[in-house]
Amino acid sequence: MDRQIINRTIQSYIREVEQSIHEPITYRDLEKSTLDEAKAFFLLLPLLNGEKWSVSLNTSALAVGAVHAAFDIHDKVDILEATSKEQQLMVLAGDYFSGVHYRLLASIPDFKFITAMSEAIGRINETKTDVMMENMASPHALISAMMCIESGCITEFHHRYGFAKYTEISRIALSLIWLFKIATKDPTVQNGWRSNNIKSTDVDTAISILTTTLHEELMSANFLNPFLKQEIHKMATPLLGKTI
Amino acid sequence: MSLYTAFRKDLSFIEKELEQSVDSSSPVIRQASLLLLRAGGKRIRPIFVILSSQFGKYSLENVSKVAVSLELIHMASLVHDDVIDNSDVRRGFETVKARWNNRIAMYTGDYIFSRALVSIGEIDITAVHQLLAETMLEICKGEIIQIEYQQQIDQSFRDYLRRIKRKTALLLSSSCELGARVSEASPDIVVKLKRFGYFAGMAFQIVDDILDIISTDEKLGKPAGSDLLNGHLTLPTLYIKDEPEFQPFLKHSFDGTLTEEDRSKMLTYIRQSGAIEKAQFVSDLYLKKAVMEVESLPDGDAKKSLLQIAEFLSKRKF
Repeated sequence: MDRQIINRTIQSYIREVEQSIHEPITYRDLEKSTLDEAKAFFLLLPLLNGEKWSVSLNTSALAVGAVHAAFDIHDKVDILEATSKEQQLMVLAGDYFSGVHYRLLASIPDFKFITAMSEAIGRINETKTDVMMENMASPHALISAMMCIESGCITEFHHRYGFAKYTEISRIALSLIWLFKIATKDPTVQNGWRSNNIKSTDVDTAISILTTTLHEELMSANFLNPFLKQEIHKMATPLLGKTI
Repeated sequence: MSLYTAFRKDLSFIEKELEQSVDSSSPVIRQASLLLLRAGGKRIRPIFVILSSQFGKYSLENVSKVAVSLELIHMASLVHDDVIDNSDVRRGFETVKARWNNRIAMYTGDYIFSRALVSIGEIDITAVHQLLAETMLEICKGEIIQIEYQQQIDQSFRDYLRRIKRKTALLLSSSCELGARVSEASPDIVVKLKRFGYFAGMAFQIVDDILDIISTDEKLGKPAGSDLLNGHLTLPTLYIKDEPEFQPFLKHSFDGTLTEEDRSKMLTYIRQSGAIEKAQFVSDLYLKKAVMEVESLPDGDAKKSLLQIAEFLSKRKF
């Protein structure tokens, strides 16, 4: 296992998702947005770790990617004014990507996963709404919300296909990655889903709690390839020891 | 006897299921979803599912799952349409985007869409899911094409028909087909019901486009002429788009400079141009085709109700 294999696997997956969600008009008129590589990494973590993979599993993974693409583009819809052609197409492209996710799962067909994914999508939208409309009561509430939003679909995927042991690490790491982006005012977060109701002190505390938890989880994850452990550590704690 | 009498009980059950399915843990989403549900609507899709199912082995449990799913998909698309059209009012009620903002409308629409799939997820018939997925994608493609055609005067009759097929007729056609499939109706009946839904849907949308011009702001729950104001040419306006007297109205509607006084003049112009009668004629043709499909179905209460609905669609004023 090395970084090249990881990159190749992720890029190949992203290309496949992009092909699945291709729609000529939106492709022509919308700025090309790249799928989140970190989410792809954690979704494919069992595969990277040598777990048995199948065609239907791959189709399900593509469906999760289509949902992530839908979330990403809907998060870019302007909060007040969406009447430009570009904004209108963003609304519709997201709906189209959601439809692609359903078509992919219907083609397997995996009815249980259709329901599980839909429940997760519902919860993610509820959580995004709550975070947007209400103040987060505590760092723990913030962590719980981040885990749901950032890794809700990946968690469902891991659970459905017998990879539950990868869930906790993915939830913690993806939340940490997002919190670090918030802490460093990363432009990808500024352009995506966000809320003004998150206190920076809560972000710092949440980072501290999650960093410790991730460290513990990785220590006890005997099933995980050591190189992958290192990679996860690098991805999820990029600023450790540096002043934020 | 009211049109709804024959299936009121089942429709009430579906109405309750609809409310339960959007009973969100998020106060804002719950409020937004209930706002949409209570704004009503004709529930034409659930009705088509109920009636089509009666041509096979009727099970209210299965019918309800399909009907709830279709109505929620329709509702979710309306919430997102209001973002696209920047609409503050729908059916006389404040829209989600107007009460909160676009982002909440996007989340609410996505939430409702997810609930639609939770509802239908309990049906383990592959063909049902594949049909619904294809229908949803076609509807999205139709809307994307509509954006492409927005404010374009160079449109043909065929372009319009293709657009309304995807916008409305497809979901109604699928409502009938899914109702028939979920109750295991025979293949020839499935085809007839699917065709009925398609023809009725085409007629329904043309009447909708006519009402947008001949009805009042109060009855529509939004400004009359909204289609033009949003840059969409519909069948009545396609007939007169090249008339020199109509061109200034068209220009000002599309560039957002149409005054209230001119809107009133524009509506009067269209109403008196003969375009409404021509559009009504096309709608009636589709309706006749819909009726022909129903007439070839086995006799029974469901057949009678479908014929009544066809009649209602042609004469409705709302």
